[in-house]
Amino acid sequence: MSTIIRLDDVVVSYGKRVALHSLNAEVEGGAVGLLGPNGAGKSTLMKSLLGLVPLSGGQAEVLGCSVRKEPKRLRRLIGYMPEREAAFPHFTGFQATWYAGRLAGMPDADARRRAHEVLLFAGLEEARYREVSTYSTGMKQRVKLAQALVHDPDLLLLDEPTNGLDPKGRDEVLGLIETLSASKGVHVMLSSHLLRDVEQVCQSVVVMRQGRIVKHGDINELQHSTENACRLTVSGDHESFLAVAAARGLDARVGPRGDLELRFAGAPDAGAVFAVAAAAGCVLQSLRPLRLSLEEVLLDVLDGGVV
Amino acid sequence: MVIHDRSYSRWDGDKTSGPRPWWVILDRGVLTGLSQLFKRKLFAQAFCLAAYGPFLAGVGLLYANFFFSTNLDFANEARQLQEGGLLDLVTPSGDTAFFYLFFIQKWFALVLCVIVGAGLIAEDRRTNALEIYLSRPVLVVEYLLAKASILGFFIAMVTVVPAVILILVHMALTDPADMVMGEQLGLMGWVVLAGGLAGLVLSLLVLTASSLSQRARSASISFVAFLVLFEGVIGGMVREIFRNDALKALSIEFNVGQCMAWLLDSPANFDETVPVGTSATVLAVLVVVCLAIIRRRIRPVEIVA
Repeated sequence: MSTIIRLDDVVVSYGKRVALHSLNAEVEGGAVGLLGPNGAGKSTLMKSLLGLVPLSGGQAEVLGCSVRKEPKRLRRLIGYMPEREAAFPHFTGFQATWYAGRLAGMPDADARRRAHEVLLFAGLEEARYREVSTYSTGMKQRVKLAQALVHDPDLLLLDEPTNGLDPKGRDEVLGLIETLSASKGVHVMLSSHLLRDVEQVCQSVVVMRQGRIVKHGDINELQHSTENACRLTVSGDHESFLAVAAARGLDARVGPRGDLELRFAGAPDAGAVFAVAAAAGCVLQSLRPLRLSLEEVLLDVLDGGVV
Repeated sequence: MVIHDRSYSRWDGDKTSGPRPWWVILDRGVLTGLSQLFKRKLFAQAFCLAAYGPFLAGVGLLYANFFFSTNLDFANEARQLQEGGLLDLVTPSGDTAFFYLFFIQKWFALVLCVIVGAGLIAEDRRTNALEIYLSRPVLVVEYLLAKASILGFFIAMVTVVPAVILILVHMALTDPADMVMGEQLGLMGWVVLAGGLAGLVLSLLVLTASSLSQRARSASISFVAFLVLFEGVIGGMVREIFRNDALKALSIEFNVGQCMAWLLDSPANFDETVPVGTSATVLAVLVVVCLAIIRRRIRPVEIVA
């Protein structure tokens, strides 16, 4: 897949405080998750890609457009959904979406037609003629998504799109985003601190900490199988299993999810596991290679460890 | 079989085929302003009647003069009208244009500033709409130009537009032999310039107040408070304390009037104690300060660090 975002020594400062420290990355298309704790610089990166926050140093290109030199052209190609509540005052959902399309340079008739279409897609068909200020939090999130989509952007920048949504609304919004990315050819950059959201929608992630990119890559590669380790489920006494395994020189421990993890000095040996289970009087129910969850990857990266 | 895809569809239109963003903002802003003005119908009707009353009276007098003087049966009435002095008040000239714009219509422009102008930026700041505006292909300059144009439109509708129409009516109803056409056309240009100057100063003052607030109401209160404080308390007090007429230059209203009188060539309304250059400089400084404040306030991201 082609590169959609190229960062070359990007620095962003707010006065004397440096928010982004010399970022370098080439982000490929598809759905990209932007992960990191609060204050990591996720929103600042998104805003600087849009040109809302000026770059203090370096160069950035989005969809082949220079952030510094072609801000207007760039913003025609990007749809942005801000994190905080944002709406045009006194507008209905339809008016707000139509107006957003007009501001992006669409002709009136096309903006009207598209506004109806994207509001339908966002699930606001019934409420589109109500003033946005009367909407619930979930509906406000949806109208922001509709505004970001109305001019059919090639790249969607979504800043915490599921904030304030109930589980059902969250699943629905994530479903819409997944549809856009998977089958409609819209690239998505999703900033979130909710790992499940990113795991559900994205193929790759950029992990940030204290204004720096600390990890960047394909989710499947980051969640790689840890060599020489497996995760197992046994019925019976875990303590005796651990004791027998230790006596036979195997590194067994209770994993973060309460199940057992077993690390071998060399290649994994399934026969040895069965032998330990038999000696401990346990029944081995499952045995699979140890695969880290995104949460474990993130915690490891943020703790400064090596995944 | 799917007969209609209700899911997301791509749009292959040209994103540069629509109008410029500032025009979109202006267009929508004027409609919103009109709806705000006409929210209270009785007030709106009374306002329109009062604002256009002098204009309608002027048109009526000019037409009456035309009618009487072209009908021999009304020769007596024509002479009475011309000798009565009323006609002099509406016959377009530098003095009458100044009187009309500066002494009468100014008040209606101020009312419009409070009703329409106060919320122009404040409401966008309250609802974080600036972030959406500026994430579109809209530059800060275009946003500001559009907002100033919205207010400019409303101010022009009660100042320059009726004044220009009055001149056109006068030109249409007066015998070309009794009038120098070039003078009238020139006057029209000066009226536009003088009205434009007053409108610019007023618009920037309101937009500055609006950019410093997050509610239309507080913006209008601070705008009125600024005018009262600056014109009445500071300007008046300083002049009285130092007993120096040159300190009139501290008054925004005085400087606007001075520049308008100069542009409209109205010596009767020009104060010789303060040179027009001083007034123009004061207004230029005011404009620059207002623009600097507004520029600092119109930003998509609130930086708290």
